[in-house]
Amino acid sequence: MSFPHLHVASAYSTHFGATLPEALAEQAAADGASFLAVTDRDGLYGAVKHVRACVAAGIRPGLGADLEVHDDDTLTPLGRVVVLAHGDTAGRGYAALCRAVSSAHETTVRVPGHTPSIPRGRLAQLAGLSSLTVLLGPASDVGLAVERRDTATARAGLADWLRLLPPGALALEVVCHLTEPGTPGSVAPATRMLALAEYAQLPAVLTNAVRYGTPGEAVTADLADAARHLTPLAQLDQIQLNGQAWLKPAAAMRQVARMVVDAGTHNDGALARLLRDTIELAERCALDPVGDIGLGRPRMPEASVIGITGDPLTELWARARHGIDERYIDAGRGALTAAHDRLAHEMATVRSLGFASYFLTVAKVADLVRGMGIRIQARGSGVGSVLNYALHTSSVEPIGNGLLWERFLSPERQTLPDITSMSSRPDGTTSTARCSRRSAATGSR
Amino acid sequence: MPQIIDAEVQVELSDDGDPLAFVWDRFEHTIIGQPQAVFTRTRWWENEGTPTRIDTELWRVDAARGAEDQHRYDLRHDADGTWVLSVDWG
Repeated sequence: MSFPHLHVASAYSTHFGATLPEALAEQAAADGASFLAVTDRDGLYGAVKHVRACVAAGIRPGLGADLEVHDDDTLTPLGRVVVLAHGDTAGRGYAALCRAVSSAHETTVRVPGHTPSIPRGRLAQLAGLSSLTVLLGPASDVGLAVERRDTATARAGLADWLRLLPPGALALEVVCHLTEPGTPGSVAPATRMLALAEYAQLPAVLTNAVRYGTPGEAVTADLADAARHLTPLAQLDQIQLNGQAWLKPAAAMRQVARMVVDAGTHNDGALARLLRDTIELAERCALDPVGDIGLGRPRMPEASVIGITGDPLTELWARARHGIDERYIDAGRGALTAAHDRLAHEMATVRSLGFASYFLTVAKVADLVRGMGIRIQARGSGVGSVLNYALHTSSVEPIGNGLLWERFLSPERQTLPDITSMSSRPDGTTSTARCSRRSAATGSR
Repeated sequence: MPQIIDAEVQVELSDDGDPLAFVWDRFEHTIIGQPQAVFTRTRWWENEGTPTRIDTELWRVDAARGAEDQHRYDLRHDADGTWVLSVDWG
């Protein structure tokens, strides 16, 4: 029987995780797992690599984020939780997860100096329509109370979560790193967490709060901790208590489960239930790379964001024709006709790839920069396009200079092109902005 | 009375990887109940070289020799795979 890991930081959890998503997915698949989640801290930094790696390894991907939460009104910190997206929801779960991450980072703007943290009310809102599961583990307010044997506070804290979150959105996360008795990560708080789940009639899932693939990489995690805290290892207070936060194989996770269940008094069948609830949650969180995430399908920025209400392709045609007429007004009849022919050729590719709103967005960015009184000039392969020239994204006339459109974009190319622009600052220095795949993709969510 | 033993022993594992029994001083000691493992870290940067793992693996088990009273023992599982009976807690 395989074990699905639901709480895993990849190396994209900066100064925290140690192993690249590709290595984690391969290791999970080699152990016979059919599912692996990556839940990076404060973001989805390893998400796309993880999903691709899972597809390559033949396992199902899960995505989540390890986020700090606070009370909406008082800003009281409520610890860290794991937010997991539900799969087979036509992307609803993944979208809610993306918005949860955005919300956590909005706090750093709204409350200057604050670390990324999501207001619990916002999390509750996003978890609606069965989009997300929130795992309350050892780092949550509830888990911290369990750790210090404060049962009353743990129960009251859990009651608050249950009152605010939609039904079915909560599970308790049991983590045991087999540390020395009396320390965080030992069996006693883990078995108390399991008892709390039984008391509250909530599902409990077992995770290993993974930070690295293999035991040997615990050393790397030590160094990450030292770097994160800017403190030498020997002076580090929050050093990991042992090196057990690795992607343990199924047999080792079942062994941990047996030790946790054996260390407390539990309902009959507690061991089987813990493992079954873990597998059931993994099944809910298994994402369809295409249906849920749109893997391999370029997402255009919504044209409405830049004030276009009609069909982006029609708008692009109108602007481009007008731009050609204006740019080539003094060039003579032959050059004008050649420019229109070239535009038709370029537009055929743009149309077949569905990239119209991408070009409109980049042109809008260039307009905004010019509107601020800053000079801007495209560079690289983007200047080979008469379309970019017509839209004033580029100031280089491509036909007379013998520049090739195909170097920039061709129907065979399925990924978004890069248009790199340089702008000069009022102080005379230059900066380079890249309207690339990445910025177009973030702009679209 | 706790006694430091520090003797290499043969340990029989279950299919699940839990210690089932160990042979110490010719006698088989059968482990009773679910044994518990504890991993403690080393301050590896104070030693030469970089370790392949940072943990010391210790299993605290209750075991009995035949029909005798059970004792509590600490079994250490070293990085090279050997098992050492470190303490007899009585």
